[in-house]
Amino acid sequence: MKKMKKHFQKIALSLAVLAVTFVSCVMPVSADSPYKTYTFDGYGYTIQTQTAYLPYETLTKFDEESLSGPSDLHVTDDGEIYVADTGNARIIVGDIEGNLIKTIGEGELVTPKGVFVTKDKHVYVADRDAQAIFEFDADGTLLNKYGKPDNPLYGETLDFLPLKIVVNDAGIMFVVCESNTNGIVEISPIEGGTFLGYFGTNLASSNPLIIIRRMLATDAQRAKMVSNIPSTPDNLCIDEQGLIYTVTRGEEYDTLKRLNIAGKNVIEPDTYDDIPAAVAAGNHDNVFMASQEGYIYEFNSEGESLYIFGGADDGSQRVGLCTLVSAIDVDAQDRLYILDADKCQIQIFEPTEFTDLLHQALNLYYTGRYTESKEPLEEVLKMNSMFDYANKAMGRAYFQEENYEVAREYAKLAKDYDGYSDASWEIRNLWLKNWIVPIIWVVVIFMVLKKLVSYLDKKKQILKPLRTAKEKLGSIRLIDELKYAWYFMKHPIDGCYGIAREGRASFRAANILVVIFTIEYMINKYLCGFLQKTIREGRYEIFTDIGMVVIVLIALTACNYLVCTINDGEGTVKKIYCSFTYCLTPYITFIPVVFVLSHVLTYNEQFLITFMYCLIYAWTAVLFVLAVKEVNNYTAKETFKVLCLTAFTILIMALLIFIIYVLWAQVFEFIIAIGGEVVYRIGN
Amino acid sequence: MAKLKLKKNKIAKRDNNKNGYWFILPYAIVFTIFILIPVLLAVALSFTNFNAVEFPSWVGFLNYITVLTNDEVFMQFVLPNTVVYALIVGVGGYVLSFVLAWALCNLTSTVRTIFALIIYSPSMTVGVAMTVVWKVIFSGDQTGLLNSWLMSIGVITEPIIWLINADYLLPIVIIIGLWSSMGIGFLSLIAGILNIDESLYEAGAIDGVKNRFQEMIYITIPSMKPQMLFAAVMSIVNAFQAGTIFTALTGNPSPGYASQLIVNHIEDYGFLRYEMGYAAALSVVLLLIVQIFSKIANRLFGEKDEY
Repeated sequence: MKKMKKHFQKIALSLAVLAVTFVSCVMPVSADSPYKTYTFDGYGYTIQTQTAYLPYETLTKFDEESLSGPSDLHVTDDGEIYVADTGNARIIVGDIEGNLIKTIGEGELVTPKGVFVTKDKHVYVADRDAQAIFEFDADGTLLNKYGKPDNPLYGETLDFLPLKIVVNDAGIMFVVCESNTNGIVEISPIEGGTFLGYFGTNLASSNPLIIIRRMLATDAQRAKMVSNIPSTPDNLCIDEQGLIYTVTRGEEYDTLKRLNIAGKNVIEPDTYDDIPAAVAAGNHDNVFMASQEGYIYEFNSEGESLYIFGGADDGSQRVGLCTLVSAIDVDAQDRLYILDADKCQIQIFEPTEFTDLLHQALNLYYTGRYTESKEPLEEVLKMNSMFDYANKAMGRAYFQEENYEVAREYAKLAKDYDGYSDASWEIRNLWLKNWIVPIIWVVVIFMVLKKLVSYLDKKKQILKPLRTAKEKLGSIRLIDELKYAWYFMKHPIDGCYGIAREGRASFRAANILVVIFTIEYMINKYLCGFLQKTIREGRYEIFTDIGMVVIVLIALTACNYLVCTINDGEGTVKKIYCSFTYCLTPYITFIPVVFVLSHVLTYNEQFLITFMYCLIYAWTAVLFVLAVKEVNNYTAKETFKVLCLTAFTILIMALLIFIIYVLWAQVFEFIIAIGGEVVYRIGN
Repeated sequence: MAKLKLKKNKIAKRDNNKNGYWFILPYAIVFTIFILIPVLLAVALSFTNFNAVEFPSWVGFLNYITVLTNDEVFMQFVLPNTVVYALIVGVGGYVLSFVLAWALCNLTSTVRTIFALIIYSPSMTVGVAMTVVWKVIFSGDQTGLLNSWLMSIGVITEPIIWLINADYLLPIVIIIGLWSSMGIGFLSLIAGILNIDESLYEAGAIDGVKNRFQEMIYITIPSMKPQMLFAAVMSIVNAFQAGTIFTALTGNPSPGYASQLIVNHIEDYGFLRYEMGYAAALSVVLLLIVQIFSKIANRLFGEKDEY
């Protein structure tokens, strides 16, 4: 199942306002942060959660050296902060206390745009205007300078304008270049820089329309079309395993990618930002993405979002808000460093206890220590029992322990459908193992009994009273009319003839069918198995549902009748209404089966339910069309015309009712206003 | 009904049933030896543990219990695959063969025969030879027909390894299944359509049938109910018993069990692992499934007094 949940901060914020109203009552009062922290619930809605990170410190200068238009930053494991101080054409190295340790590359660098420090403290600088990559050693002496690759595969006319750089353990450089749409430039240090190729190329966005248009166009026409060029990645980072994350602006989705060794994207984040600026890999298989506006997203390694926090500074100058984020990094203590190019400052956040626990659990969970991961997860859940990610991980942990019942409970809490399905499968399998022999016996005994009874019935007519009772029941007019629905479903043409010419149906029977339909519809909607549920758990809209059924039926009947009478139709209101309600028979017949199946089937057998729904809807549609055709004695062409007209009439009627409603509302308002005026005058 | 009974009684009175039995004897003998006994043996074997070398040992219902509870491949892949395949190929192939049969019957007799032969040929030659054709089409490199075509129109940028990629296996198998589903049912449908009395159409035209579609709905289909039912049952049975061609195409077991059908599963257990008892149990399960679906088809398509 492809998740295509797309959330923008603005939606997130507006939703959050709603969410706050009911979440705040269970939420412990958060510490003072100028922003709110959000997470997603199982349905993809944002909800507020505990503050995940608190502003810790703001660095504007190291000793007396201040920054000027900084564009990148890198934090080493021992806490040294390397900042590409673009405006001052140098790399500045400091620590979290704000002490200056050293500066690198003064006089050599022109516009350092990106900086990366390897484990042995080699500093790589991507310098745009120098059109080169500089490699310094730990003391700041220049080791290497890599210019534009001379390999023809790089592209002869293409400039080399490096912006960001990461280096893997083998010393291979991955460089993001300005206006190079081919992807990330991969350079090996051998022989003064060997161009290895392009890596992690973004694909040009494409849709069926473009493909068809290009397919039909001639070469000359194609040349005239607006060329479809992929976007360049904007920033990148490398994680412990050497996998590279990239962020790209201007794409609708896939703005955050995790690239494997072959350059293929392996994650599909459940939320996207329009203007991602930077990305950093955390210490716990997590990844941070900062948007240019200052929102910070934390994902786990599968692209599930854990937190969204931070925000844009609207001029209030509060600590923790940013104006133009250009880089983000994490240190060994999980502190986040956000570089604000506009304010020329580094904003540092530290994780709260809640986040620490979550990270601990993440770590344990991903190293396969499920039992141990339960403890921190429980702590997390104690603080926020609605934190879906923790519930999900908890469910998965229990699943690994083969405690399927509990796993299923947690999966249900977390709306983790796949986990729920897997746990259900195991539970069902265990149940089958225990009960299969008794079930086989029951089936065998039942079959033997059935044969016995029919044998006895043949010899001694023991079922005769039952048969006569059934016949008697069938001869009651109402029952006969109801039974006719079954025949109608199987033989729609004859069935319609029966309704239209032989009076086989009545309003009474039709109404009973509608009531049964409504009841079944609601039972299936609200009480079906968790996996099939289309509505939020615990939410009921019974009156809306009933209203919908009644309104749709009335609208269909009325409009169809109106259209038919002026189109030589032979249908009366009764005939049309009855035939329409009888069209619901496939639904009434098969939904109970679907309902039962929805409780026992998992995603593994999902197709059965999908198939049944296809059957129900297709059958009903065919019945409906045939009903319109046969009741009014139309040809196929006329039927099509009448159906279109009916749809149009319904639209007009809805519009009309809306206008009348608005007008009457005005009238009422007017009357109330007059009343108020009169009361006011008399009162005076 | 009453008439029929009367006739029966007359025959009984004349007491010449014996001759009837003599007539049926040759067929009965052949049927017993080649069909009835093997089926019964398979059912008997399904209650045993048999490795094709030693004498089978009785295990009761164990094989069946294993099918339902311990064989996760069967429950997670084989059964869903088979049902999806059978529903789509069974129903789709049925509709397709009716439409094609109906279209063919509007042609003149020579052309019709040629086309019928062409359409029928895939199910005749369904053996391994035909997989060659499909292997060329679904070849995994850029020279494969489908890959090359898709790449030239720009839908994909790099070749898809169709016959290894678990995402595509089942759809591919279903397409091939549909292609080869014009079997004996298709022929019976042609026969049924051609058998309809022309005068019925003339009468219909007089009574106000305006177009071919109406002819089909009001005359053709009602007059060929038995053939329709036969074709339906055949198409269900065929759909459930398909599988051999896919072994040649995707191997057995197929990658990730993505296109493993019940027949492949039986083959796997019977002729690769030599667990004949278990394989026999699986084939009995297949028999039951086919029986259930045929019953459903009978309920849906059959008239009470027609079978």
